[in-house]
Amino acid sequence: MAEAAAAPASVQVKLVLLGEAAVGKSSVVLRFVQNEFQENKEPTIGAAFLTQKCRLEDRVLRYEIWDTAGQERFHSLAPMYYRNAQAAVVVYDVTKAVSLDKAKSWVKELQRQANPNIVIALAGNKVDLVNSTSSPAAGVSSDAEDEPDDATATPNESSTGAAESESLRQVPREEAQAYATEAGLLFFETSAKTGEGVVELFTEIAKKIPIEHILASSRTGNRNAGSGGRNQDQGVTLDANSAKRADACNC
Amino acid sequence: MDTGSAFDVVVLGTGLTESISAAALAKAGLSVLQVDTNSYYGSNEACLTTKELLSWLETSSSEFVGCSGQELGASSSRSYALSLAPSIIPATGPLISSLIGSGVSRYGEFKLMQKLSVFLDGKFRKVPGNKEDIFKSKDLSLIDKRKLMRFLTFAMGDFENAEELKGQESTPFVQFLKNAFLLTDALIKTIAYALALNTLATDQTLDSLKRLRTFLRSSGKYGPSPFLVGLFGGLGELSQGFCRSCAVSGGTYMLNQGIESIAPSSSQPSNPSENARNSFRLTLSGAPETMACKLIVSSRDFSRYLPNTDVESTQGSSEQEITAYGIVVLKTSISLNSFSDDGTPDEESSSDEPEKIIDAGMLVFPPGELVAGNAPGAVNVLINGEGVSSCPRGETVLYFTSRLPPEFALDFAEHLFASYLDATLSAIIPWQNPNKAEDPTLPDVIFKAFYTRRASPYPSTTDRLHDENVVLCEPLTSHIALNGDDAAKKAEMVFRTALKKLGVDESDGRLPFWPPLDIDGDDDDD
Repeated sequence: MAEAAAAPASVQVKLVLLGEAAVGKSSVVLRFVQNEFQENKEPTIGAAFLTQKCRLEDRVLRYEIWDTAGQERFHSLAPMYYRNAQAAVVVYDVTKAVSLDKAKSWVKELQRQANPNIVIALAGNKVDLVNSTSSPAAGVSSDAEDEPDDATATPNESSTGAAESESLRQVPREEAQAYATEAGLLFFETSAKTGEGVVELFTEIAKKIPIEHILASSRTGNRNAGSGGRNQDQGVTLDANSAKRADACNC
Repeated sequence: MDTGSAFDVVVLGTGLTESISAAALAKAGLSVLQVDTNSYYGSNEACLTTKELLSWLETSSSEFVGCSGQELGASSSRSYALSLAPSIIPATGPLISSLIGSGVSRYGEFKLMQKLSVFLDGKFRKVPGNKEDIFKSKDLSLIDKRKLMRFLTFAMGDFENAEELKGQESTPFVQFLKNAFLLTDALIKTIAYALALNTLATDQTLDSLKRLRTFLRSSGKYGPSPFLVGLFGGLGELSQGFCRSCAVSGGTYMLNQGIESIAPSSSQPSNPSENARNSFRLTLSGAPETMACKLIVSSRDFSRYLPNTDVESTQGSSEQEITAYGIVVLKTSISLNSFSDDGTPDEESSSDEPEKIIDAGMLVFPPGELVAGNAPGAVNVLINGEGVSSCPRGETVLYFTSRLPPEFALDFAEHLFASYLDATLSAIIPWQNPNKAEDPTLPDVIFKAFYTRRASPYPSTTDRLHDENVVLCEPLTSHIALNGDDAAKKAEMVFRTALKKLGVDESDGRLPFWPPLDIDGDDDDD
């Protein structure tokens, strides 16, 4: 049983996105996985899920990020969406108070439907719209190109003057932070546009994922039902061409 | 009046056929709205929680005889994904092709069937499914081995013009095996019911041979068994996967909808901005506005909502296929050594290998073999262990299915399966104490549900709709190894018909059922 201890273990982690329409779910992910993303590509259309590696000291996480593909719009998300998700990012828009209410109901839904050990992070997006400092979060994202950020065609993403910008804020940071603490969620304010908070968000989630637990359960052969660990023993990959490949990492 | 939202196609129902069709249509660039009255995906192929299943039984009992269900101390309802249409998927066939072609295979997970046993002379025996098995078998005499090899070589090949088959195409298969290959009764039953998976003694030779050849040629693709089992509830999970694939391609989803009305659009649109080609207007309980569409693809279950549809016309009662189902959850995992003749490990599995749980297996009771049983046809028992992730750890789901001839009078499906359940339970070696084969206590049954359903016979019935802007999806065969492929075949027909009815220009060549996958779309390589 001592064999796999030294090598950096790579673990696949399914992460689901939730939140009201147009809060920037896809944009946050696009910012995170940008290196892999083609610029002229429609975001929510055509991607089954996106993958991104995340390196943490001695371990490597491979995020498999699932977008809702619009199925949340009429409350028609399939159980498949939540199944075996080890992490969730619930996104709201700091300039829309109702979007936080919606986020709270998604958190409840996750607690009802998902794996009880799921790591949930609350992300208040579009913080660039309310930042009084006009400088885009310095030193966070190394590759802050601008083109694909507003790919969900979210309205009002244009820069606003610093003075009027703070008045756009409808969700005070303290309020959201207090809710997150109470509900046991990670909390970040993010800007998919500037990259602020995005990498931190996914890195903090990675730190909280019980990797050892996942590895242990997948190592025990076929006694791994429902835990999200992959059964190397008898699982069948239908299409050899879709086998996972190594990828880049930008965190 | 509002003009509503307009779609090329509205798909009614989220059964496997409808969901594959919706995904293919969306990938072909059409705008799709898929609607279901249920709060869950999958319609007749759904995978349900125990609570959902019990309430489904209640609503179905008005339609079908013999439903009963009981919760006897199961775990929390949500930890189950129990399939209304249990299925094993041949490794080569239309469903696997569609799963790979659409990319939905990446959502699903599959396991190879580990164990197939047949009940003969009061015992479960390992089914010799390939040459190696036959060679190693201790049950077979040398002469039987040779005869069986000869038959399997025949069945693998192009037997259509073979001398043996001439004039025997519609002879009952069991009779054909006896006459043409002089096989013993035990071998005949093994071949007909455990290899060709016949359901009734009257199943015809040519159909059986073709089915058997498909299965034989499927083995080896992913491993020794020709069959795969889908995780998380089988076909119901795959329906969800195709629906997600449709959504990813722009499809819109509305579940739990009351369909208030579906009306033909007036032939002369009063509003000139309205698309003149819209054929229907739908009013749904959950939508603020009416929805317009050019074409409706509908499960037969929804045909009562459709205008101008003669629902009764295809009810050819002589060809009705009735199947009894039982779903039984056990509070134990089952050892892989269960169901072998003497409870000892299979020949080659050495003692230093740790004992394993059955995750995917099947037992076959040929008709007449179980003395206490009175099912008119074969009874199949699909075993889904915890590794199939449709029940909590330490539990096992048994799916009983048996096809009934139309004249068979059934009172309760539960009565039909009672003796088969007993025989199965008494052969089980619980995983916790693999060395105590003599343990007299039977595994606890913690949930059970029984029902019957009608379905179309294997060849799909013809579409007798009067409205040319509707495409119907017929019910699937109930055959455990054919139902998934049947859905994929029907979906491709629906797809082709829908394109034609929508006037999609294919003059440059037929659109592929599945366009090439964008490899970079959701996987990253550098």
